[in-house]
Order: sequence, then structure tokens, then C-alpha cells
Amino acid sequence: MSQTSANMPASGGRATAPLLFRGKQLPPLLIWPYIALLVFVLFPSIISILLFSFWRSDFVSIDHTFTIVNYVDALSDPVYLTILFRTMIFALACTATALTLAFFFVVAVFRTTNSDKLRNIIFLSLAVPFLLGGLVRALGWVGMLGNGGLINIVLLETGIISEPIQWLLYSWFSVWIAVVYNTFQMAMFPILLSYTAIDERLQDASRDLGANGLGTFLRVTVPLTMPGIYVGGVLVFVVSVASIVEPRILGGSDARSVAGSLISDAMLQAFNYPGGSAKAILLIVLIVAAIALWSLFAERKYRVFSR
Amino acid sequence: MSDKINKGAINRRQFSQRMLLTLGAAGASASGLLPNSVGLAHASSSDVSLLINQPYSEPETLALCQKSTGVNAKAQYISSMTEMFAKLRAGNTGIHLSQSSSNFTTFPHAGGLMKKLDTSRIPNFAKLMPEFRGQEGGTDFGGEPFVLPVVFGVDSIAYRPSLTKRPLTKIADLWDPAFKGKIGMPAGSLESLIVAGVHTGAKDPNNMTDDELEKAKAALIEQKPLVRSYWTDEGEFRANLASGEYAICFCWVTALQLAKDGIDVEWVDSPEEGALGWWDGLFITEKQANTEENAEAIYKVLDWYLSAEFGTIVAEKFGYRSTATITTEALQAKNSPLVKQLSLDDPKKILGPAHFLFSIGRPAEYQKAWDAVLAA
Repeated sequence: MSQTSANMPASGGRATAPLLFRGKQLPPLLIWPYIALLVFVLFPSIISILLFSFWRSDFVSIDHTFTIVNYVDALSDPVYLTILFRTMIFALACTATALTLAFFFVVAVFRTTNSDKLRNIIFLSLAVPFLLGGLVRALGWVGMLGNGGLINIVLLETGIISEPIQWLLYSWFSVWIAVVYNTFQMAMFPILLSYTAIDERLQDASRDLGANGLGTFLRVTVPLTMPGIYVGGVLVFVVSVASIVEPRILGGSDARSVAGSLISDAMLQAFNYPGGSAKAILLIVLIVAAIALWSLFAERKYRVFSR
Repeated sequence: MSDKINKGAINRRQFSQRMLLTLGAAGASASGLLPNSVGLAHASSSDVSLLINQPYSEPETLALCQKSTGVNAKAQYISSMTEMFAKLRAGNTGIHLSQSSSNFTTFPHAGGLMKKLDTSRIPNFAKLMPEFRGQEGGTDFGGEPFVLPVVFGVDSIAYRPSLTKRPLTKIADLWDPAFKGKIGMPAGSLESLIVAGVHTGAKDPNNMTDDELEKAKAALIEQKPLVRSYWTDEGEFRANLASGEYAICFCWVTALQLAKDGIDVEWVDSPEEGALGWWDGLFITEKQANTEENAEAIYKVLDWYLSAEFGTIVAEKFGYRSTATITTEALQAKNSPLVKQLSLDDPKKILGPAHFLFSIGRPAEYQKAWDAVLAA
């Protein structure tokens, strides 16, 4: 693979650039609006949270004296650390589930039909539920999983159960289902892009060289799809860690306690913006660390950045 | 500007500086760093803007207000007191009158967001029930009136008799293992902890000591396996009562509206331990009412919110009680059953045993206790 890279033109890996970008280089001046966009639109909220995290609040007013006491409080608070740990485990479970489902979904669609039209219809139809807002989608699960919901009614009517299954709703299960449902596309589309870029001759060659179906799948298909799995993993993990709506609507008494809710309650219920901000910054640091570990694994094992 | 660059009128560095300044100003304005007076620019001095819950300011309600007072009152809806506080504190200067509940008034007052009331300009103030006057730390601060209570009520227990199989009479029923998986409790640090404080016998549930807070927290942790969910808004508890997810729920009296849809629902107005009493009031925001004409319009609206017209609307539509006796008189004149149902002829029956919700003294400690309940 490194030989192939060495033979590629220095312009970035493609023999010919797309028409839009072909021709002479654009004036460097034009980068400034985009840098300004980053600085003035994307960064202020993070910078503001960072500043707040070093101040103190007494509910009504903010004391702007620099202090790290909010970080000390957060890191010595067993409740926050428990919830943080729980949130990370939950996000990892959601990420693993969404990636697995998305991967096999893509493979199944490509292995079961050769019609591009049908494939496009299937993949585009996945976007339909997203025409509704996140809150409505979460409420939809209440109607599906509740005691009087569709699943319990069918099971009761068919005599499979005699009492409604309580844990379907207001549990970690319902939150997990809803978060995976909401992040499935984020996992699927990057995997789809990687999967469609695989040269089928490599899989044929693997089989010709004696690998069975499973061997080809594990040693050729999965590694070549890894860039999509990597990107999908990052997207799903970040969204799962930050989920608030699903735990609030579907979490019941147990699964409500995720880091996002804790931070939101600190800021909006107790008006402790500095305390909530410190917890938010610690969460960001943890997310970045998790992504760094994931990147390290993806690079060392599958060379997703240097292929 | 690009023409000027091409013609050499400004160089790239100057262009970049101007671009940054323009974007900086736009960003600062969007993030609230620069004062935003656009909202006020179009308001007439006889218009009054309210920051208020929807039930108190639906379009037809405000149309009646305009008909009676000649003042065009416009509402910005809020869903919670914390939202009100955040908006006003962030400099929401287009607001003349804002709602505050009894359990929240100290915060906007301490934040310098309230203007002192001149009750002589509110004719219906004479009809305000005595229980709602002169509450230091509630309606008054430093002996001066700042908030005008307009509606009161109690939060208590609603239940489905067909599911509980017996009549309920006390808050302790929320801890009955017989209702495991069928109990609804409010989300958030304020209400659930106070309910638990009442249950565990705290002297002042609004200002619990460390020991009392610890007992309340332990009671909520003990209750947690029995709880189906912690509801966050009215729609949620009503839907869960209607669907049978909740057999019993600590909530608002609006749960009774389910009866209109044929659902068996009962309300415990006065549980043995006492319900949680509250009132909702209005205050003039500090940054407004600078002109006499504007102030006159504001006081007319304040007075209307104590009128029999408004009191009748909220009683008939939502089962809320007006704090002014003229509503009772108007409903009695109509022989309305609401007079008895809402105990308007004897408000002490409701107010006497209730624990009134006032601003909690230690919100951070309450929040910490609530977080511990959720994490348990």
C-alpha cells in the first residue's frame, strides 16, 4: 500500500483534481472568512464555558476571581465520577451496537441486491425518520415501548406474556435503543462510503489464495472498511456521550443520570454555571482522550491515517 | 469591497482587518455581548410585554385584557422559573412584566431584576386575600412590595382509583411498595426533595438542615425502585396517568383535566401531611417602566390580572384559584360549583395545612442531593 502511495502525484493522491478545484490556486485571503467563522461562531461557546469553569457562583451572581475549585469539587465528587463512568460505558455500548448494526446492514444490502436503484432507495429511506425532531422521535419510543405500547399489546394479545414487560420503557434498555436508533445513520454512511470503495478483486484474490468467507471478511473486508468504521465510531460516540433528550424522556428513574443531564441541571436548575462548566470541560477532555485512544488503535492496527 | 481590493484602494491586510471587525461585531451581537434594543424599537409606550406561562396569557386571554384595559399586552412564553431568570439576567430588556412563582422570587430580587410596586396604582389590590400580602422574602423585600400574587394552588397527589384499588389520602402513599413501578415523581432538585422533606418531617422543607436533607435524600433513594419515571413537564405526567404508566403521581392539579376525557383520576387536595402550596405572581422588571405612560399601561395590566375576569378564566379552564376575592364573588353570583370544588369560599381550608413553597435557601446543596439520588 505504501508503494502505491509513493507512486501517486504529490497533489494529494489523485491523478486529476475535481473540476471545481482544478486550475490555479485560490487567493490565500479567502481562507480568512472561514477562520473568522471558526473563531467567532464555533469557539466562543467553548471559550465561554472554559472561562466560567474558573469562576464561582452563588446562584445569583458570578465571582470572577480565578479559581480551580470547581475542578477540585468535580474530581472529588463521587456522584459526578460515578455518573461520568456510567455515561462512558453507556456511550461505548451505543457505539459498538450502532457500528455493528450499520456494518452488517451495509454488507447485507450489497450482498442481497445488485440493483443500484434499490440500494439507493433503501439507504435514502433511512433518512425519513430524521424529518422529525429528536424529541418527537424519543416520544415515539414511548408509544412503542410503554405498558400500553405496540410491543406489549402484540405480546399480550398473542398470549406470549400475561403482564406488560415493564423494562421495555423507562430503563437503560429504552435509552440505549433510542440512542442507537438516532445515531445509526452516523455510523452507516461513513461505513457505506468505505465499503463501496473496496476493490472487489481484493476479496476475490483472498479467496483464490485459500481464505474462506470468514477469513476474507475479517482480513480483507473489515480492514478496508476501517476508515468508515473509525469515522462512524467517533461520530456515534460523541453524540451518545452528550445525549440528554433520550435519558430524560425514556430514562425513568435509573437511566436519567448521564453526564449531559447532570451538567444541564447544574447550570439550569442550580444556576451553578461555573460548576457545570467545569464538569463540561472535564467531559470534553475525557471525550478527546477516548477519541485519541480510538485513533491510536485505528492507526496502529489498520493504518487509517497513513494508507 | 472586492472591487476596491482589485483597484488597490485597500490592501489585503486592511481588508482582513475590516472583515474581522465586521464578523466580530456580528458575533458579539449574536452572543449578547452588545446591547440589543431592536426588540424595543417597535414597541409603543402603551404596549406591555410579559414573560409568563402560557395558561396565563393565551391569545384569547390577552384579547380580553386588551378589551378591558385598552392595553396591548404581548406574551413571551416561559416553561420554568429558571428560564425566566436566565432570560432576564441575560439582559432581556424588552420585558415589562414577568411572572415569578412563590418559590423563586428571592432570586430575581437579589439579581436586581425587580422594581418596587406602587400598590396604590392597583385598585384590585384591596381585594387581594390577606394571606398573600406582606410575605417577607415572598411578595415583599425589606418591607416593600415587589411581587403581586395573582393565582394560587397546591401541588399534591393525583391517582387512578381503578389502578390503586383504594382511595389515597397521604403523601406516604408515594412510598407504598404496592405501587411499585407505577409511581410518578417530579424531576429536578426543587420539588421532589421538598416532597421527601414533607414525608420525612422536615421542619421547613424549603430550608432543610443537613440532617433533614440527608433524610429526604435517603427517602428518595429508598423510593427510587418504586418510581416509574421522574416527569419533567405537565404533558408527561398527564400522558403517563392517562396511559396507566402511573397509578399515583405527585403533580399539578391540571391532572384533573384528564377526567374530561373520561379517565378516572382523583386529586388529593389536602393530604394528611399537607400539600405543597404555591402562588404565581407578577413583577415589574427593573429596566422598564421609565415613562409615565408606559407605567400606567403596566399597572392597568397588573390590575387586570387581579380581576374577576382573569380569575374566572383560570378557574374554569385550569382549576387554578385567583388570589382576589372578587373572583369568588363573581363565581358565587354565577352559582358556579367551582366555589366549593376549589374551596374559594374558605381558602384557609387549603392554605392552612399546606407547606408553602418559597425560595429554597441552599440550591447548590439541594442539587447535590438530587444528583446523588439519580446516581444511586
